[in-house]
Amino acid sequence: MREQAMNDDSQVVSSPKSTTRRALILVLTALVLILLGTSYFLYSIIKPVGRVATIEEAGGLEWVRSIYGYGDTLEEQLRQPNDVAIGPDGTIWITDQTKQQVVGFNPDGSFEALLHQGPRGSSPHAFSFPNALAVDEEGLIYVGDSEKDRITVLRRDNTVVLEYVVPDVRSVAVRGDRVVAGSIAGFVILDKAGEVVRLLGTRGQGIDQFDTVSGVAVSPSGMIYAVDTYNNRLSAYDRDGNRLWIRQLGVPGNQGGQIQSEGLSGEEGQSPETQLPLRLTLDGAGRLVVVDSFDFSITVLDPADGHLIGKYGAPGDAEGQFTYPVGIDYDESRDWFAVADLYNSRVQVVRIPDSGNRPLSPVLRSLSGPWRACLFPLALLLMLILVALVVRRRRRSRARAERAAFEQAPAQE
Amino acid sequence: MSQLSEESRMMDIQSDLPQPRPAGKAGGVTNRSLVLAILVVSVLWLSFLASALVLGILNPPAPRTAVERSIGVYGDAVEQGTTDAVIWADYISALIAGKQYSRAEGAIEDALAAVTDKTSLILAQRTRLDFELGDYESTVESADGAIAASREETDIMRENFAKRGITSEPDPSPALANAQLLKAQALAELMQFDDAIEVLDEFLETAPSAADALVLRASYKREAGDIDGARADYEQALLYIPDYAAALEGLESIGAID
Repeated sequence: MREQAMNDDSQVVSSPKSTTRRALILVLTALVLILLGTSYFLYSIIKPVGRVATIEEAGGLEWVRSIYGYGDTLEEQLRQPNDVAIGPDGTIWITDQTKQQVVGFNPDGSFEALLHQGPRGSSPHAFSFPNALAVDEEGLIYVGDSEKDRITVLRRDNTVVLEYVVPDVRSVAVRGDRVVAGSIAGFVILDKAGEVVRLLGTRGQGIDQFDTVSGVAVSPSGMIYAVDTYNNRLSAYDRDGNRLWIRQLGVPGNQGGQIQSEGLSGEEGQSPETQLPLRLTLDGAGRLVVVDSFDFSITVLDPADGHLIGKYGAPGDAEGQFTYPVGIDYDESRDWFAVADLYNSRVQVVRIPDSGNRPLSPVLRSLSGPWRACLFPLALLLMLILVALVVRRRRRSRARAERAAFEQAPAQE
Repeated sequence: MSQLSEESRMMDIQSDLPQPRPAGKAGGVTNRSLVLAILVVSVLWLSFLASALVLGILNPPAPRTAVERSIGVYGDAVEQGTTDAVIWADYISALIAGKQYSRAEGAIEDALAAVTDKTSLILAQRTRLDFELGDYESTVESADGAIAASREETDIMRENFAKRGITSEPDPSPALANAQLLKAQALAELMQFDDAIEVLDEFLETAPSAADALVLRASYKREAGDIDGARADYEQALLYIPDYAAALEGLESIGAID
């Protein structure tokens, strides 16, 4: 009888509670559905519109974004970007050879600055054929002009700081107090005032000769690397210009077939590692990364001896693919490369595996993309979990203390 | 008295201890935990939205792809009232590539009202839109319209050439090739392989070295049971692009190579 009464009571009491619970479950379900719907909507906004190559279609590259221009008119689009350099603040500087100008973009792809000294021939400082680019640690921009036989040093406000004469300049790199400029017949080491420290090479195919140094790079320790494009070689030098090693990467002049190394390191009869090596840079792991125009790829080489580590890239016009890539530079803080993709009239920001120099590189990569929007909610969630754990622990220890006090009380009485 | 207070104290302590789940509650879910879940989910979602807005993630500051660039650049020219059919066609093409089909539909109507010549370029884009939407019968119909318009334009150019004493043949509109290829593919989707082959025969008369069209025709011949014809087309394609993967795969599919 008493049991029956209790059951009846519980039914009377539990009915509104279960109604509330059902309502709350419905609210939670609706909320989750709304969140899923808005998430899909937001994803469709964030997702790039167009054909983006998968990592497989892009030959192992992870595409981040492409840069096409700085405005909504055809005149404001890049035409033939032929070199690229990344500043210490992440600004991506691009030379556009047919427009005689240098354009700067922020890491998010938005326009930063346009550097030029007027149309070709309009002033003594005007560019004629800007085709080499570097940025130093202070953010000064070094523009090589092969028609004017000079390197112009600019501030980002477009003022000219200095000009060096370098005949047939094809590439430029800056690190610390050294400026290295490649030309048709070799390369020159300069100090920052433009004084020649050492001049290396003559034009030709001999072991101490060069046929167009399209890429130069200086490592943090001061080692100099030079890509000899038409001899298809890579060589390394100490900071004073003494050669440490030289390696035949492929067949001179891109004539096909197999390598005849003739005294150079590089195995006789091996398949070519590069077809038309052009510019190079160093990644965060210290590896040499060369852009290979005719192979539509970027090639990673060992800085100790020039041996091949890997190749990434595929031909095509989808985002993430190349049509004659010609320039490259690396952004250490974002762990990405900017690649001048000449005949797709764009610069692509891409990533390759193992290029970072820190254990947390994958996390840093994620935080430079849309996933960074999750950072604050994640921190908030962690904080909520911490608070919940602390409250629970306090409640439990308080309950334990009270139980202990209760158990001791009768014994004392 | 002391017994009573002891009982009430005992009850207080027990209420603070973790309680066993009462029978009948679904999965032990309490109203309090549900309210808490709703609050936590809402707060997290709002914080996600706020940080996405603050960081500018929802509003990309610059085009990231060729399609986004084309929609921006050509859209701007279209807004300024261009009558250039090439710009209109590029704009519509970008909208279709970006899968913005209803905008593309509207732009086709606007373009046909705005442009005065080279309308075949716009009609070819309509063909492409129909094909992308999977409406193959409409594709065939709109392709016929684009092909006829492009032939008319070529005739007019030929007359103009003749008036100026130019004896060479004018280049056909690029719309012709696009419309022919799309028509062939639409006919194949409708399983009308003989008609598709006929369209490609016509196309290959003007572009005999188009390896992709040769491979397309070979695959339709294979479907129609003409294995020898398919083999000849695959081999012809390999003459123009050695090691062409699609042609090699086709030869493999008919057992011509291992």
